[in-house]
Amino acid sequence: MRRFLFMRLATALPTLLGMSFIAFAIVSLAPGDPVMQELRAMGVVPKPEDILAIRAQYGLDKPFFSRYFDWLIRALQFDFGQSIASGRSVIDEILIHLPATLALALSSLIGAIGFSLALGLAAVSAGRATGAALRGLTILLVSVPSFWLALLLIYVFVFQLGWGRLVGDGSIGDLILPTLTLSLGAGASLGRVVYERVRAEMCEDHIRLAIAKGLAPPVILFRHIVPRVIGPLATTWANTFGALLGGAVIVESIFGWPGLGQLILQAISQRDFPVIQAYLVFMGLGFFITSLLADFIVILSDPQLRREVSNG
Amino acid sequence: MDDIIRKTRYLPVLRLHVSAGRVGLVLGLFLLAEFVALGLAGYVIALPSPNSMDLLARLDGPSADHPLGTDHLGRDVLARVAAAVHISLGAALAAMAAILAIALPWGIIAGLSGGRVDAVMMRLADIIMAFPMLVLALAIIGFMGASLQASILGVAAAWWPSNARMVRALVLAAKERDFVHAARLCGASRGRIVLRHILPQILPPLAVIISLETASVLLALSALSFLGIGAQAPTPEWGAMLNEARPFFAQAPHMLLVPGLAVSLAVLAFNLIGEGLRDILDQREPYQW
Amino acid sequence: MLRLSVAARLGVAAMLAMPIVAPAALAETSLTVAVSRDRYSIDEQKFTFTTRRPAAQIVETAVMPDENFLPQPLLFQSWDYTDGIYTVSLREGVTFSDGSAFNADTAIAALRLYDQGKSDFLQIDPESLQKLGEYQISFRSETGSALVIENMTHRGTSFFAVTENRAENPVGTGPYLLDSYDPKQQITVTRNPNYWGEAPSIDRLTFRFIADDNARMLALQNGEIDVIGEVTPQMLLSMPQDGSVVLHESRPIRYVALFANLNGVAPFDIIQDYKVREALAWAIDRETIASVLFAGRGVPAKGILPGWMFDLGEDHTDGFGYDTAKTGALLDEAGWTLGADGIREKDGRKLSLRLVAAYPNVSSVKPMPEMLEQMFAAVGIDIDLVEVDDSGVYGSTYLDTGEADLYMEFASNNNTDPTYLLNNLFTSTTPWGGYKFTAPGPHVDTLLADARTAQTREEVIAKVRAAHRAIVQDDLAAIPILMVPNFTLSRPGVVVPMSEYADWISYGHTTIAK
Repeated sequence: MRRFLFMRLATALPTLLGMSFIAFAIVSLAPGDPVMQELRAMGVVPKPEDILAIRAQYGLDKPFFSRYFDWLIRALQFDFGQSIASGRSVIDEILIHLPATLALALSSLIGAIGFSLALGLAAVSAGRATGAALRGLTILLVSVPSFWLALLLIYVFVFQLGWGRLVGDGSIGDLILPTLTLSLGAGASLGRVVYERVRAEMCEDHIRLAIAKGLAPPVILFRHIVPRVIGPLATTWANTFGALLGGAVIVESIFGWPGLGQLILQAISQRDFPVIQAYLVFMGLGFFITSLLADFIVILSDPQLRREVSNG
Repeated sequence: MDDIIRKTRYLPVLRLHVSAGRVGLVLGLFLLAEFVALGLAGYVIALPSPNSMDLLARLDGPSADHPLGTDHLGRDVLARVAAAVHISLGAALAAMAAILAIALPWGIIAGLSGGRVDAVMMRLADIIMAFPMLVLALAIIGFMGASLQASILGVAAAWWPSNARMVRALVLAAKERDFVHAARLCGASRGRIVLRHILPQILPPLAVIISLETASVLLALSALSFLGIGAQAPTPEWGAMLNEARPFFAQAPHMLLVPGLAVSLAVLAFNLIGEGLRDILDQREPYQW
Repeated sequence: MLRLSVAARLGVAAMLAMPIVAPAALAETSLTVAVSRDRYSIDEQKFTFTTRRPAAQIVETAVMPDENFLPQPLLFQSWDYTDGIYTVSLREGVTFSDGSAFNADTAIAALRLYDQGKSDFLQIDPESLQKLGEYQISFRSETGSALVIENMTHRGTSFFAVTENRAENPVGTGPYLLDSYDPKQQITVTRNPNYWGEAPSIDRLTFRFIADDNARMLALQNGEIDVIGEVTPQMLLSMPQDGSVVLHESRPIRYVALFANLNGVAPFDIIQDYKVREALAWAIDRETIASVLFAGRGVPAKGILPGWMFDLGEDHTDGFGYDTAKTGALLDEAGWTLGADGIREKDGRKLSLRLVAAYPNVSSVKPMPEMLEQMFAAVGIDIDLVEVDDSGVYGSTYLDTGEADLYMEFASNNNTDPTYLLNNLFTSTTPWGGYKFTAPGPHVDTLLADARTAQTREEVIAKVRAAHRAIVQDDLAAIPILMVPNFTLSRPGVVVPMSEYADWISYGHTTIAK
């Protein structure tokens, strides 16, 4: 097991490095000079020494690769510098927003998993007509844009029924509507995967045998189908979590949920590149950790793989 | 033949074999045809220009003059939705074409080469896939300035790795077939193998992938326009229209409902087509308990 | 005897009841104001925490603007400027909130602290700061400017006591004390009981940062906030008319104008022809825009500085009306004739202009760009409209490179220095980079340079007047469209004292009807 972990990390290292490089490159090469922007906001007459001093401060006077290595070495010590916009350290900025986004992503994931399992399994076991209707509902939910759904939910729940608040300060009650929005969309899309996977499993011979043996449907589901689908499902769950972490930006801004989405939108419009770089690195790390977890679940659920890993 | 009869149900009324997949496919194609018709409607019916403002009739609900109402600047909503068909659907198809242009060769080369080339190519794809789509799109828009073209490129840049992976998976399965081995042993050139043996095999599942991905791409493009970084005013585009409708949705709900429905139905059309195709292609029948 | 004891008992009961009743009667008044996103920076070199947007009223400046944008005493009681030396008498009897006194020593320390920041536009020579007495100081300007005091109404020049950590505990002389700050969420200030000046009416003032414009508006309608401090035209268009949202306005101060790229290279050189600019100016139906947008409170503009400001006067500019026939005649004279597709052309070239609408951000100008586009299309001018919500991209892609013909801006002269705005926007030596493209030329450069070093107020104003006329009339570097007030929105019963200078709207003096 330890060897597996080590191998996994070793193969992931180039990916992580590549990601950090791209994150750095994207931000450094994009137009929009934060130095000039800053001076402009101050209304100062920039003397050439001033410009040079600010450039040196941000390390902009050195060539690209040496800047990259400087940044990388500091990043490994979790020092991502200071936010240009607010002056706080980038780590502090991210920590202000991270809990909110994690809470939203986790609760949306749980909601989506629950919803997808209910929808997918019902579609598989129901009769022709109900099954088709459920599948139709799933496809419909997948097709609806999340931001439109969010606005409709606001209209119904906040205006007509008065149940929710619009100005979120991160308390639990404010989490319900955004979670509902994200869970419906992600849950429908996961539900499709569940349906497809379970249906594919049901075509296998061992299910034929189980039916012939006279096992009850719930037993077949949980003892024969679920262990085999859990692997690929876990991978999709990990991907969905990664997508929820990064892609909830629009929903966060509509509901005023104080998460990372707001941070990155503001950082991009203010050309706050230390924040943008750190955000990209965190997203990559998040993706890496969740796919690692998914791989774990895959291995744990498949006895053959388990043996393989613990032996070799 | 047996399979088909078992999968489908014969409806004497219609004298057709129907299955959920087929119904879905037909429904999807029908919806798509409706959109094409809507897009062409401007040439047939006399609709007002999508950009002409009639400030006295701002935020009017549906009426005889304006079947779907007017927006906050007095522009006819129906005309704008119809004009948006070219733009939104066109952008989605353009993005899909760009994605395929990269993902197809990438996946085929990686799948056929195997070994180190495959590993490197997939590693590069993984690196890009790890970034959230929005951030990549914003980065590209930072380079190019906000516009529909920039958002198309941004979506293409974010989407091609996952498509490349899917193509590669299909190619890996396809190249293991006996006749492909045979062709190689006969000395067929790479190109011939790809064109005559691999591509025909992967095209049907690829069609499924294309329609399903087009649906996602359309959603992503309208999301970017909703944020204001895709299609720019006054271009009629469904996502942009939803963005403009936000301040007014308490007073003029039709501004919000119509473009939202348009996006949902268009995406639904592609999803139905994709799912329908997949149903038809999937010959396996689950054992019912 | 019985009656007396009853009366006595009643009296005692009343006295005992008082302490319970009295605090209820003196209940804390609180106000919640929504502004856009948190723009504070705690970086020591560009410290804007509690001084800019929203000015949390913990610290004060030397002088404040009166209704004609002339500086009036706040922490500086009186001042004098002769032979390049400023002599200032400080207000006496003022203390910082940590108990230290405000006197010449602490004032000089505060000015030195300000000088360390990068945004030093006061340009006081730090070596020249001298204590002349317990409450008297003097200093010189680094550039020989006569306008240093005028620049001190800018809240960025507020006086902080020199403490260890002003990012967490800012100490000032103002009417409020910092109560709590959740970055990006809200900042709450409470009344300073030892304030030297007029006590504010609100005990507890909370500013909430709500970046999304729609969410701000909806929050007001939902009763979650009392006042909206940053109002966009879209909000005014979508404001309910049933009285549930109340509008407060100042005099018109913010200009909407199209700045022309006078120094661009092809293909952005069509606009360099004065006749084309004049034609554009006559093609704008200002009355309609004014009546439709901004709840009808905007007025057609004759310039970018209002006449009451700095006593400039209304007569030095003529403005332009709405006359499409005149537009057509001017364009025909310039050689641009109507083509078959409704667009004018000359020598095979179409009259197509790029209009970039991005300052300060697109949501604060929408939907004016679309309305202008339609007005110009009606006279045969094709507009390539670019709306950018990202001021960085606006700056780097279109302004600094000069890659557009017209720049639509919605801003105001937020400074009591009369030369501030014109100098930064219309001179070739502007510190604001890209605006060298909108500079009309050396005649304006000289006028403004002279104004900045003129030694009497009358001279300064005369030169600014001349420069202003050149910019908006004779050279048309800026085509004026509208002049719009500052707005705040509130729920019924709340009256906000408005000011033309947005940073000086005193939310602390808001009155709330019971």
